[in-house]
Amino acid sequence: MKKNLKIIITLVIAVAIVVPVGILAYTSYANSQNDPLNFVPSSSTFLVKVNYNGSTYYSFGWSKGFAIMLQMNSGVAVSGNNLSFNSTKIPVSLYGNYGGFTLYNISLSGIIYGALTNISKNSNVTDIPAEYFGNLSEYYSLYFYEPYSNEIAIGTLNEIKLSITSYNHGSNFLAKARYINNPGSLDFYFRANNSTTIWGNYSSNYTYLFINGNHTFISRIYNESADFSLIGYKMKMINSTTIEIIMPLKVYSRVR
Amino acid sequence: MSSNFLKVYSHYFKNYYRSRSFYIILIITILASLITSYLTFKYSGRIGNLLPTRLSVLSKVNEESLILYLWAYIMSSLPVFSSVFFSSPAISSEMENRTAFYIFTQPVDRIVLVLGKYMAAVTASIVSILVYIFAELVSAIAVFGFVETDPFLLSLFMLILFIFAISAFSFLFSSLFDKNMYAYISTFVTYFIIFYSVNIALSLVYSYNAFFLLNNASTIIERVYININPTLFVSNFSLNPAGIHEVFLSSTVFIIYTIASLLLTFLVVERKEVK
Repeated sequence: MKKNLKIIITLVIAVAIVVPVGILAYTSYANSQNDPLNFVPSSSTFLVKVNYNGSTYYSFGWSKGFAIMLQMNSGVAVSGNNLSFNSTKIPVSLYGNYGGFTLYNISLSGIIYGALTNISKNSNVTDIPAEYFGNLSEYYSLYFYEPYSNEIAIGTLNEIKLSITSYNHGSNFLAKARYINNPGSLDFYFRANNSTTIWGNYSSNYTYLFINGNHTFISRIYNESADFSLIGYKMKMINSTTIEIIMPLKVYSRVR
Repeated sequence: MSSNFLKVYSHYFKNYYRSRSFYIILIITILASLITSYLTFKYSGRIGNLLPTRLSVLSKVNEESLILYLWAYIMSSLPVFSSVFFSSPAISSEMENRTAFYIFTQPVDRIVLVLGKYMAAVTASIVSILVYIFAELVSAIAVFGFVETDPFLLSLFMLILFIFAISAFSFLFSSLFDKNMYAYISTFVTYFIIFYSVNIALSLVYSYNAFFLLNNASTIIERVYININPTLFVSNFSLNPAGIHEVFLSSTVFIIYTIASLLLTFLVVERKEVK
């Protein structure tokens, strides 16, 4: 009897440990299958998901850089030494290996330098402190890798590396997926600072906006285009695929 | 209890170390190391030619991953042989040779006896595969000048978990039979025929990845380099490594096999009558 009791207790304890761990492992695996959020760092300051023409695009990053994830079937393809956007081909070169992924370099120095020169001529950029932009040379080159065989992630080097690290270490956005897994054409998440997170959802019929932190605000607006302004933050829903968020510079400088 | 365990463990480890099985496994491991080292040196500069055209142009930096994938692919099969040699006869041999009567009547708990013997078998398996790991490290450094430590250590960790799982699984078969040959054959047939055929059938007919099968989970040893599962049929693949969720899932499968097999072994051995 004593031996049987020992066996039963051992079995119950083993089952009590093994079954929940097994379920947790399987659920975690099943939920992460081919999900682009595997490659979005949980520490991203912003993340925007756009559903457009049957494809889903993700854009994420921090104050000094960004990355965009595109589906290959949306006209983007890697072939030989070129990255193609529909009929436009951009030459790429091998950059190296990071975290088991092959990184490629898209040299846009000429294009971007020209664009920046035009902007500086046509706007008063001198009002903005130089450190706000950081070292602009970071933007002269873009990098990409292929998270999945049908996906491509393009962005600044630091963000691309952080994206890979988030996948390898599991510090990705999957745990925060609720912020951007709403039905609609555009979902966005924006972490202004440690206490203020803004997230919302835009569709043709309505828009949700949540501001979580010292102030909480929930709005449901039945307009296709809407502007919001709250505690210094301004947000403009431009159309079904574009959102503009403007934040006070003093907050930005604190983030830095 | 712990002193009994250590006595059992050291006694059986010495037995394994001095056995013919240990040297057979060592020879198999050395042969595998030599062949894979030859492949590494011979094909290291041409591995890109084996890839699909789209990837071959840009894949030079993946050579190290591909070579280490090849090493790990072979390495993931070695524990099956070592566990069959060391673990399959662990209990059945005591019954077949009629030594069980002397051993099981000793004032040592049977669970301690099984656990000590199991840990000795696991240690012998790990020691026999060290030669291969050393050869892998030397070849990779000689050809590429470096080894990326994160995937390498992760692969080794997965290998050790797999050795624990496959050894426990072999112990279970050993406890079920009174003849060594039945234990050997059952372990081999279950792993190489039943597991593989179920895996292939589910993959082909239902496009289902049978992650819960030990042979499928063991592919994580090579998939930490490149996430291509050699036991499944897939049309498109990339050269990226497996993610943390897949590592977590395979680790859980290994741990569940280890715990479940050992518990069932304890149950069978506790109730075994010795003559």
